[in-house]
Amino acid sequence: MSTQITVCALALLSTAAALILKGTGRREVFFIGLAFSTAVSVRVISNVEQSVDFLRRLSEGTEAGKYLDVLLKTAGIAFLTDLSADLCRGAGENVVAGCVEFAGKAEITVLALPLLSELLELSFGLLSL
Amino acid sequence: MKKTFLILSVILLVSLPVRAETYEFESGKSSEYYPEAEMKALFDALPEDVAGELGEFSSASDNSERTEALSEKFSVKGFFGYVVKTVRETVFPTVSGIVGMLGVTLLSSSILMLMELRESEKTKKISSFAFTLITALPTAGAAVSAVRCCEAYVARICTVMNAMFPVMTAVGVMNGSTGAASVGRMSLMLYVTVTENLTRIILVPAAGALLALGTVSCAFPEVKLVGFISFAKKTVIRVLTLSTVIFSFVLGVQTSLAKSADTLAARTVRFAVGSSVPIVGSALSDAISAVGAGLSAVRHTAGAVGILIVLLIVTPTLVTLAVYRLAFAACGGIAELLGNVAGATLIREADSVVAVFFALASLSAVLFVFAAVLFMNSGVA
Repeated sequence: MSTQITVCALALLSTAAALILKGTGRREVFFIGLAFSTAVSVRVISNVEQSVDFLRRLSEGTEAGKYLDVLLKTAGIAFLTDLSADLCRGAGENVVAGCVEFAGKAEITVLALPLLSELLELSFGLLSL
Repeated sequence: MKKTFLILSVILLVSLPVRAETYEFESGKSSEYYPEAEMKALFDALPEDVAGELGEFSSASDNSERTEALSEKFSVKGFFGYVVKTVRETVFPTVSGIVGMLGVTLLSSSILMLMELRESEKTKKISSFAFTLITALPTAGAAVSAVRCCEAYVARICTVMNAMFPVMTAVGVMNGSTGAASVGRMSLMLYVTVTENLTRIILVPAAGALLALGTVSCAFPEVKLVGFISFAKKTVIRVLTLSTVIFSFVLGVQTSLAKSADTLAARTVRFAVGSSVPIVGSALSDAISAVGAGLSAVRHTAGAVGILIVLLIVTPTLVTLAVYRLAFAACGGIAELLGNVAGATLIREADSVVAVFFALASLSAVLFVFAAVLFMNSGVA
């Protein structure tokens, strides 16, 4: 609850500052967005860390533990990619945003491919006559 | 298609040299009818765990010793011991896989739901693909374990059936009733051949193909495989149903079984045709009464040990497969509840594959009971 109050307050302040700066035509608007996103991400991630530790302890030695890292990495990559791409797009850099998204997609695909091969191996194991 | 099936069935049925016979069960006299040497060979052919459970019974040298060894097996303590052992040996080993599947489904669905609040459309597709694969791995692992479990079960049943042939032949020859022996052997051989081949050549590879296709279809929604998967599934079910109907017909209608044990045969045919796969619905009560009547017939001829052997061979696998199906239903529900549509679809696909094997295992169990009745019957023919 306290995190959400902080996030909402910061969001309102950042928006107000961005509106004022936009009116004067200054280019620091991008940095306000960047600072806000970083602050919120750090705050949220430090909160999530406890839950992740709990999940790690819970799934230690089980089959779920094997996939927890892949799950978290995928979620992290997708989150970072979206955040960076949105910031770049906000600053009018669509090409850079596109590149960031492409890199994120490629990274997730690299993470997922061993899973696909493991999965097909399982299925083809049944197909062998 | 239906006409072809009909013609094939008629050709098969007409070409089989079998006929109906009548007989009366004589309870308590079964031990007189079975030759010792062949019975010893039959008990030697029982799977190790079944023989171990029977203990001194299977290693006894004659039928009177067997009867003594059996009394302790049928005490209340013995029964509960068996139930606990079955649960410990069959359900517990599957639990870790099932818990893993539940955990992964819950985690991936929850994270996916959280990500949908933030994610843009551009990265949604690729992360959804990754999450589907993560959900698919433990699900496919559980499905493959279930299929392997059923495959081993069919092999167990077929081994026991194969061991029945020489006993039936010996009994038939001793009684001078070679016709009856040939009828029994023919039906059992048909069952063993059809089931073994059906499982090894068609069902297990089809399960692998269906799992692979289901995964591809869920991970890449652009690839339209739904129609093909549905066709493949229907074909597998038709093959399973047809083979069961043919066997039920041969075993039930054209042998002495038809005139005994509460018209088991007619019920089997209805059970197989009416229920298709999976076995649910109105035919279930028929199946239960048919199995009940069959077990009662086994009890009358072979005594309690007949039931014990049938239960030892049949129940562990059925319990395991039922647990797997429950787990799939739970995981599918969780995924659907948390909005993981692709994951839920994938789990349902895996469940439908296991359903086919559950149907095969259930039908095999029912037919095994009938075959056991036929086997016991050979001693009094």
